Parts: sequence; C-alpha cells; structure tokens
Amino acid sequence: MNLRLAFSVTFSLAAPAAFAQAQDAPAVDPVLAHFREFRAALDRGDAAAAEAAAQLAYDASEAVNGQRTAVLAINLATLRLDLGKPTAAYAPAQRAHELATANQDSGVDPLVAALVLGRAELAVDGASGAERLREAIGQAERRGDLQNEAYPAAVELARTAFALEQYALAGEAWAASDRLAAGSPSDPAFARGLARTGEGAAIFMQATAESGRGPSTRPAVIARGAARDANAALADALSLLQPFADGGDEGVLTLAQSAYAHALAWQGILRAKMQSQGDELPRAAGEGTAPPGGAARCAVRLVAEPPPAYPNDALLASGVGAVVIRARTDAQGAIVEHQIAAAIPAGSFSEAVAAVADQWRVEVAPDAAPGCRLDGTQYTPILFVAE
Amino acid sequence: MRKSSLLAVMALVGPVFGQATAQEPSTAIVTDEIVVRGKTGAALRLEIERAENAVFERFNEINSRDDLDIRCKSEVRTGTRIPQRVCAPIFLRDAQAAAAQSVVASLQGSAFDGGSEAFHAAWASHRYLQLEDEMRRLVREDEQLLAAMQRLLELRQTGDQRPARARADVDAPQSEDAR
Repeated sequence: MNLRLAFSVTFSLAAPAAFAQAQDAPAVDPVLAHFREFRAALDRGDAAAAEAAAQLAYDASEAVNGQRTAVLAINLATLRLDLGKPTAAYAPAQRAHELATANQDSGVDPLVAALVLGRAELAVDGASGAERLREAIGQAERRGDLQNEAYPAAVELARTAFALEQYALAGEAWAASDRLAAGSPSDPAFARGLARTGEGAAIFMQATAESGRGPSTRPAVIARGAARDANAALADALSLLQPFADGGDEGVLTLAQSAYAHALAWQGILRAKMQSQGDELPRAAGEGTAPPGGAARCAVRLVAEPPPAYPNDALLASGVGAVVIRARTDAQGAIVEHQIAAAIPAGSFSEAVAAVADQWRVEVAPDAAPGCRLDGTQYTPILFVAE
Repeated sequence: MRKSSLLAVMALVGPVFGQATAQEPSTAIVTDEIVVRGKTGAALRLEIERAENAVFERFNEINSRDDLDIRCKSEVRTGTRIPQRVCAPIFLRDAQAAAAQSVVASLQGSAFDGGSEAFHAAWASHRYLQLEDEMRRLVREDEQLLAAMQRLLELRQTGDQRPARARADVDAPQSEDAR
C-alpha cells in the first residue's frame, strides 16, 4: 500500500486534459510547474512535498483567477483529508465548493465538493459538517457514480458521530458505508465487515444510552430487539472479516486482525450486557458455525487458570466488558505467542487479563478429530459479566 | 481530538492483511468464550449482609451467654428516611435502654435511677471486651465460624478496595486507527 493508492481520487481529479495539453507548451506557467512537482512528489511517496506543491499550485492559480482553481483547491483539500489533516483541508474545500456551486464549468462536481467540504467541516464545525455530509451521502447513493468519494465520507461521519455519542447518526452512516463499500480502497468485503461492526456497536450504544436516561440510578438495560439487531450486524461483520483474520504471525496484529477482534469484542460486550441483566442473547443466523477450512483444526479451548480478577472500578458502576485474546499455538498445542487483540472498554479489563494470561494454556477438546492440526491461531472472547 | 482518516491510516500505516506463511496456513478459529463474573455494588452489599448473618447466626449458636448474641435490625436514624442496618449485641441494647431509663428517671428527680449514664457506658465497654474475647476464642475453635468469618472479611476487603468514583458503564470503543 502506498501514497499513490491513497491519493487516487486526488490524482484523477487533478489531471484534466487542460493540464496534459499545457505540458507540451514551451513556456511553463507557475501553476503547471507546481502541479508537476506535486505529481513527482506523489510518485516518490513524499506526502509533505506533495502537500506543499499542491498548495503552491492552488495559490498560483488563485492569484491569476485561473480556470482550474476549483480543481486545485479540491485536490489540496482531498490530499489533506487523506493525510489526516481535516482542519487544514477546510479552507481549500470551502473554496472548491464555492467555485463548484457558482460555476458549472469549474471542473469540480458540486456533489464531490460537498462531500469533501463536509469531511473537512466535521473537524471545524461538527454539527454543520454532519448535516452537510448526511445530505451529500444520500445524494451520492442515489446517483450511484460517486462511491469512491462517498465511502470515505460515510466512514468519517460514522466515526465522528460515534465519538460525539450520536449513536443513531453513527449507525445510519455506518449503514451507508456498508452500501458504499465498493468505493473502499481496500477489499469491499473488509470494508463491509468494518461497517457492520460499526452498526452493531452503534445499535448497542444507542440502546444502552436510551435506557440509561432518566432519573433512575439503576444500570442501563438493553432491550432484546436492539440486542438482536446489534447481534445480527456483528455476526455479519465476523463472517465478512473472518477470512482476513489469519496470517501475520510476526507478533504484530494486522489491521484486519484487529478489526476482526474488535467485532468479536463488541459481540462479547453485548453478550456480557445481556447476561448481566439475566437475559440470554439469541444466536444470529450462521453464528457459531465453523469457518470454511476450519475442519482440519482441532477443537480447542483456552484454559484461563488463574482467572482474571473483575476490576473493582467496573463493578462499582455495574460495568460489563469484553476482552479478546489472540493466541498462536505450535504443532504440539503450546502457546507460542498471545496478545490482547481488542478490549471494550479499554483499560482495566485488559489489564486484568494481561496480569494472568501468561499462565494460560490451550487444551484439546475431548471430541477433537484424530490427526487434527493444533498449530494455528485462536481468538477467545473473555466476557466480564456484572451480576 | 479528532481522529485521523481511516483511509489514510490504512494506506500509510502497517499491513492491512497478513502475509501467508510458507506452510499452508490454518484457519483462525474462535474458541468458547470465557465468562468472568463479578458482584456489582448492590449485589456485593447484599452478599456482605448474608455473610454477616452467617457469622452472627453461628456465633449466637455457640457462644457462652445469650446476652452476647448479636442481632441485626433495620433502623431509621435521625436526619434521614433511609433505613440502615444496625447490628449490635443484646447487652448493648439493654445498656442503651437502661441508660435512657436513667435519663428519664433523673429528669423526674428520682434518687434511685439504677446507675448513671456513665455507669452504663462503662459496663457496655467492659462487655464489649468480653464479646471480642469470646469471638476470638470461638473462631479458633469452630471451623464453621472461622469459614464464615473469612468469607465476610474477603467480601469486605473487596468492597474497601473500590474507588470512590464510578466510571461510565461502557466507554467509547477503540477506533481502528487509535493503536
């Protein structure tokens, strides 16, 4: 994965025919010169130089009121968004949007400009950005030709809304990112897995927040219907992410493994919550079935002795939690490596597991098939259920 | 703080998908979940109450004098409507009743009030020492009382270790790019 892939949207927007023609002209204007620097920097994978050159090209075009100012402005804004600099992206995004909506020949699709501005605006004015993005994402979905631009916008809206505890909006945006997953720069199945995890988490948090409102000091209780919906989303997520959860045995979790573990952890905390309120979570369709190719693996279980202590701070608040431990075993079934792959919430629950996990072992189930493989990776959810 | 773009992180940081190993890789599996159960604040208080009852019931059964028996009841104290559980030996309740009677008698001018308030307090204090001695002796001698006492101490220790401030029920999740 390199810069070029990340900036593919930027690149396509910034390479109109006008520039290609200008490259053959003997006199090089400053806009074109900086644009060439920008392209060269992208080719080298030099993000800082690319950003500087994109800024200079935009400034030079703005100075002469150039026809391609909107394209260069959105180019710079998109680059900065991809580099995780949404605040710095706001001014060029705003200019691009202004030019695109004022002039049909600006070279920038007004809806693309709205998506880019909305992403930047989330950092500057969350409420306005969210409203703009929500509207623009809906339009992009109806049009159907802007998945590449709408997908990252939906993901960012979802994540920002979740961080701001606007769980209904987060769920809605994750659902949109699921539908727009073909526009993801990575495998669409992986993108869908992330989106369904987000939906499940948002449903869970929304249900918990709703029941926790009001004068009662009793712990929040999650309704069965919401639990079922969240569980269905998380079961989908696990099914979509499972094929990406293998490999990477260097002791460092891949993003895909981390995503898979987080889906498991969200499902774990949902189960823990239901158990803590004396309810059992109904199993979603397909849940609990062995993944394809898993038949050769021995059925094993993690022997968690000694067990982790329940964190006192969580107990005081009737808090539930889930930790997912990933263990890799050798051909004899000995754990050669283990790590906390996900914890919800982070903090004392994972500390409690980490304090004792070195002493744990893997045991072959009595009904394991003869000659089955012991080497491989297993993920184990550890549920903390407050009673 | 705003989180950086998922896409940028996916593009610029670390592997997204693992590399296949030289040997044919086996599929990752999910093993049975492990459940750790804990008592919440309310459940723990109830558990402590039950453990106290077990200690007092056994102590009351085997102690040498009935007035050393410990009884618990729910009392509403001045300044609050919330009933509180109060456990005390019978001799203390008797002493308190006698002291109250003394106060009433002295207010009424009686010369024969059965002893001053200070006398009753001193007597109760003396009996407390006897109670402690009896409790220590019986814990050493009686396995059932010892077990009940150990259970109570464990539960009280758990309660004491708790911080004063509660935390949110469920925190916001870790984002994919926060690691």
